[in-house]
Amino acid sequence: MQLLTPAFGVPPHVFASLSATRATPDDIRLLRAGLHSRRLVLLKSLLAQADRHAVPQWARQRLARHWRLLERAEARDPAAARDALDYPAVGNWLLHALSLTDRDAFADFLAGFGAVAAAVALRTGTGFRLTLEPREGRLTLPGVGVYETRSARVRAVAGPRSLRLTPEHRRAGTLLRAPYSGAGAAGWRPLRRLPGGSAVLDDLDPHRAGPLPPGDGAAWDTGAGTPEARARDALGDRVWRSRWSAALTLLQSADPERAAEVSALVRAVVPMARRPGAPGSATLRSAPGGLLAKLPCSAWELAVVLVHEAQHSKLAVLTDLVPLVAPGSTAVHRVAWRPDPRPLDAVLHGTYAHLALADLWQRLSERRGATPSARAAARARSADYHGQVAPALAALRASGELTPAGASFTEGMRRQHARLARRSGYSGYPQGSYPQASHVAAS
Amino acid sequence: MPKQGRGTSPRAGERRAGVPLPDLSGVHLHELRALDDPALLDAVAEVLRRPQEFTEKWCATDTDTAGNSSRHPVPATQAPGRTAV
Repeated sequence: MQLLTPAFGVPPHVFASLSATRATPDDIRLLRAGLHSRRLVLLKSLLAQADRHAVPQWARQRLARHWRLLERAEARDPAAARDALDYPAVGNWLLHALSLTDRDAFADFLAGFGAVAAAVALRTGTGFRLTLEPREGRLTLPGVGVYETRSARVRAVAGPRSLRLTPEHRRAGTLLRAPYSGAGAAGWRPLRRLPGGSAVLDDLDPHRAGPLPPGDGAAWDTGAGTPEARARDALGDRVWRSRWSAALTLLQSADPERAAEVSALVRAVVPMARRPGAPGSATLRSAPGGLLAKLPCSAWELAVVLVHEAQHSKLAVLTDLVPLVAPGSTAVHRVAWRPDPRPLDAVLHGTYAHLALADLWQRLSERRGATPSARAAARARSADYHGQVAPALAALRASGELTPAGASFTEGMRRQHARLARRSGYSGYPQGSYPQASHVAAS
Repeated sequence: MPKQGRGTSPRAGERRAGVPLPDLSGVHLHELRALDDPALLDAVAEVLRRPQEFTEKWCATDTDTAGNSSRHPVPATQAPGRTAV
């Protein structure tokens, strides 16, 4: 079937509000549609890779069975199916599969697609009967939970609101009821939902921290899976949930639109281990809506992390739809927020995130009920971020490496930067009067 | 506060030479399997050619957060309706 599919378009008004770091509900709907289009391209790539690798007939038939279950799930509840397919860890799983160059390894790994299809089916209430294959003692249903078993195969039988998992050669299985979030069933570890929305605390999925599982060459240490980590789980959960609630309450009190943006964008929080020198938080292009973070020390700190990482998720999707940096960009630039020179797309991401933080702290300084000292401290932090953004905007504008859309996006950020200056009395930088850009070198 | 860094992509901007993402908003999975739209096939070829370019990451250190906090401390007890957690 051949259609003429248009390239993804972003209306000017959406582009303008996104460049100001403040996404409206319509903007978020468009970003979600963009994310889903990318996810469909990855799924189509999976089929193409199976052809390219000429996987054995049994693997091809198994893939077809799982695909048909996905189709049934989508037919039953399209919105829920798409939501489940767009779960952050599914993107990581797909990229892992697509990076496998060995035919047998790819065919073996494709077994995990059954668990993806099962998770989507569960979300839509679609019944199914499948034999699924755990990896390393775990059957992972992305966005739902993990079933721990020593068996090489697990029979999964689902109805509209139930799931029975029975290890091979066993008569008795584990019966779970929708929404599959109850702990206590033998072998079943559900993902814990964070309060006040649909986000989950994902400390279970082996692909939660990137295409490679933790401990398998991944850059991130999630600290999970070890006995010590499990002992900490219960306490950690309580603290995460408490801090999450307090952070959202704080955002709601200072900036309800920003709170709504964060709630709509963040699908999963992946706890990372506290290790000296390890990243404090991160976002992966393969998994927009997923946020990796160490446990922040306070609700304030978590609010900042949520806003910061939400900007990366937005920009990760937007730059997939509209290229902002010209092909072949090679120069690196100094920025105020880190010591090493950065390539232009990193400058763009950093500028965007720090502009949002300048906005956040300004609104926190204006929050009703804040003490004078809290207002002063928040205002000082806003001024810090505002000052850091100014030369980065200059670097972007002077780079000559932005696309026309990138230049327009940067102009939108400049206007927001100027609005913040007018609102707070910071020294603003009207168009054409930025401080000296710090261009380092082409590498 | 945090800083971000590009992760695994070999060079900034190179991926941006890539293929536009087709708008598949109205495409269902049963259609996707048989769809051989040139724009979609180009996008698929791009993914299969360089899957690692879709694994960029942006990471933030928390040392900056601490630095900013120590310069402009905000009492944690100011969180509305909450005590420090």
